[in-house]
Amino acid sequence: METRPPETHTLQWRPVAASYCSLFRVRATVIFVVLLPLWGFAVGTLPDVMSARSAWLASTGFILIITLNWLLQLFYWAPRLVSRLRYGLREEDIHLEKGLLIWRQTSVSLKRIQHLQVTQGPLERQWQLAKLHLYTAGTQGANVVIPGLPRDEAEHLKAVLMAQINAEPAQDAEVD
Amino acid sequence: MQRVSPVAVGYFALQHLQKFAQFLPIAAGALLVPETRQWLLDWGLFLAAALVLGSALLSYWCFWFEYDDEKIHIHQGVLFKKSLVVPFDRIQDTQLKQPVYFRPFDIWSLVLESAGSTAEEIVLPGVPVALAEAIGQRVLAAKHAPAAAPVLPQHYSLRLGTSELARYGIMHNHFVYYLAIASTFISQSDALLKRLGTLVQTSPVWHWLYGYWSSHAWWASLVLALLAGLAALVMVYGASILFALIKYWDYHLQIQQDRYFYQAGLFTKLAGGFREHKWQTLIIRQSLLARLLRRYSLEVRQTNEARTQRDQSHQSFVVPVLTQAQLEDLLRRLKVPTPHWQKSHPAKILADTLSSALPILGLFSLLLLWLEQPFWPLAGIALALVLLQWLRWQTSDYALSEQGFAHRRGLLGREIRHLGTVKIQKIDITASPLQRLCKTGSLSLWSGATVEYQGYIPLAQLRTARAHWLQRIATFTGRWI
Repeated sequence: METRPPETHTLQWRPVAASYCSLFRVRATVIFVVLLPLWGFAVGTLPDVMSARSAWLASTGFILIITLNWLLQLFYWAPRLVSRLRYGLREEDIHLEKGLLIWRQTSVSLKRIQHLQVTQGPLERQWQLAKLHLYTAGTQGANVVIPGLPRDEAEHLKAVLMAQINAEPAQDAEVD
Repeated sequence: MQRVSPVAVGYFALQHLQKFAQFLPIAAGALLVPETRQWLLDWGLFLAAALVLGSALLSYWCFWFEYDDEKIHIHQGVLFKKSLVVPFDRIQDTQLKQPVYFRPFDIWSLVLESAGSTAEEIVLPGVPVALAEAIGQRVLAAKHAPAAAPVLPQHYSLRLGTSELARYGIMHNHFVYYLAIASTFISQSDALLKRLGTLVQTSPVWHWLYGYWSSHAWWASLVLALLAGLAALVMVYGASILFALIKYWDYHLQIQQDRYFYQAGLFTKLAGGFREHKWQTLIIRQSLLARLLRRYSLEVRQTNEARTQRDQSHQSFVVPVLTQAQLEDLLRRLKVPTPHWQKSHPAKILADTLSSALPILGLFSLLLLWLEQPFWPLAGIALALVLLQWLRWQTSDYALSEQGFAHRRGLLGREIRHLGTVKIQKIDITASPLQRLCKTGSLSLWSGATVEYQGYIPLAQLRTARAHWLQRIATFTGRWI
């Protein structure tokens, strides 16, 4: 690393849509509701296989843990995770930053993007949100997904990336 | 329009046999039912053989191809017809294979692998070598000439003799693992132990050995046990050497300009190649025995979606045995920079010890609690785990440079992996709370073939390296895949 590193402060970070927090909360609620019948099943069957006190302890412990996890997701994790999620586009590369406990920065050169895709799940459609997938030629896990983008912004970003990729010299894209 | 050799019926028959093998569980079930068992034994086998042979003949009849200077056109399929046109400039890799049943007729299977998201393998089974070479030449002609003139001599040849292949057999002995697994099963099998007992009682040699063993002094038993162990080792290593000789017989590696290709194999001949710009990750392996023998193995991984989908990544380009000088020569030719090794932050020892020690110590605590034993042995286990992680840290290094990334690992054996900058697809830098505390982070790098990871690198160094890599990729206009 003898030469001076290229400038990195030129990166302008952009947040994802604030409504992604609501989507995150709904997802956490769906998981909580799916787990509730398990608690019902435990209440119904555990007294047959263990003492009444142990069964009460186990089922109460289970419902306490999933409820606490749900409330944490709603009021602590969701807003913080979404505020930590941001992306930055430069002329030659794109970056994604996320993570509350473990910080993660993902970077991909635009020259390595093979194709792009915008997807929208049923929940995302409710808030007009979309995900932008960036596929590289790498092995499993080498794609990058930017979630929580407003649909229009995702399409616009895809178009901008496509334009930049297409503007590159043809030699690099050649595969033999 | 051309047909492949009629001997290719054998190839198609094997292909269909593999498809029919899916029905084996049903056949096994039918064998258990007395009514169907007799029918299966009388007619089933005959019918299956007729079906395999009939469908192989039909597949051969419906398979034909034609080619010109730019593309190859293949027609195949009996019920579902498939017509495929592949331009030669989209073919990523060509391989020549010669199964044992092709050898008397001097014909080969030509394997063409196309690139792109719809990558697939096209096999022309049973073509004469002249035709295979003619198609191979057209694939090559569809490429551009390499941009830079090679500095090293343009022709290179490496042949591996029997002694080198024997070394490979010793260095990479998979039979030891099979023996360990087999011995576990054997020791659990009562029926087998009973049969061994009967063998000792009925066979005079075994009976004499057993009598001698049980009636003589302890040292005689020890010598006999050592001899038996030695005999087992000789057998296991002999089998491994034999396997290496069969697999890599007459291994011949050649380099012409930027093309690397090899041919090997005693029964099934295998030939493969790649062009210099295509390597994605280089893996240098040296097992403990290889360190004693002062030899290395080199594996060249390339992007190959078709193979990855079929989980055949083990078929990458391999140079089985290399001396230090030969390895250095090859790495120079592949333009791999000499790594400047660095150690990761010592906090890695603490993090790795905690992540490995907590579950192990938890399990041992439960065990000691159950056995009602004192807890002091836990201190010894914890100390051993710290020592192990310290040793792992001591024997692990990484190298970051503008040309790429490398890391080496291994307590007893060693493994070094190189990844060139222009091959990088994605860069991930993560930092856990402990890593942030000591201003370090973890690096994950995706090439076209592998993912490489290294933890506890100074964050400033990681950010500088990332900026350099992204800039290098952005300004690189050559071919990389």
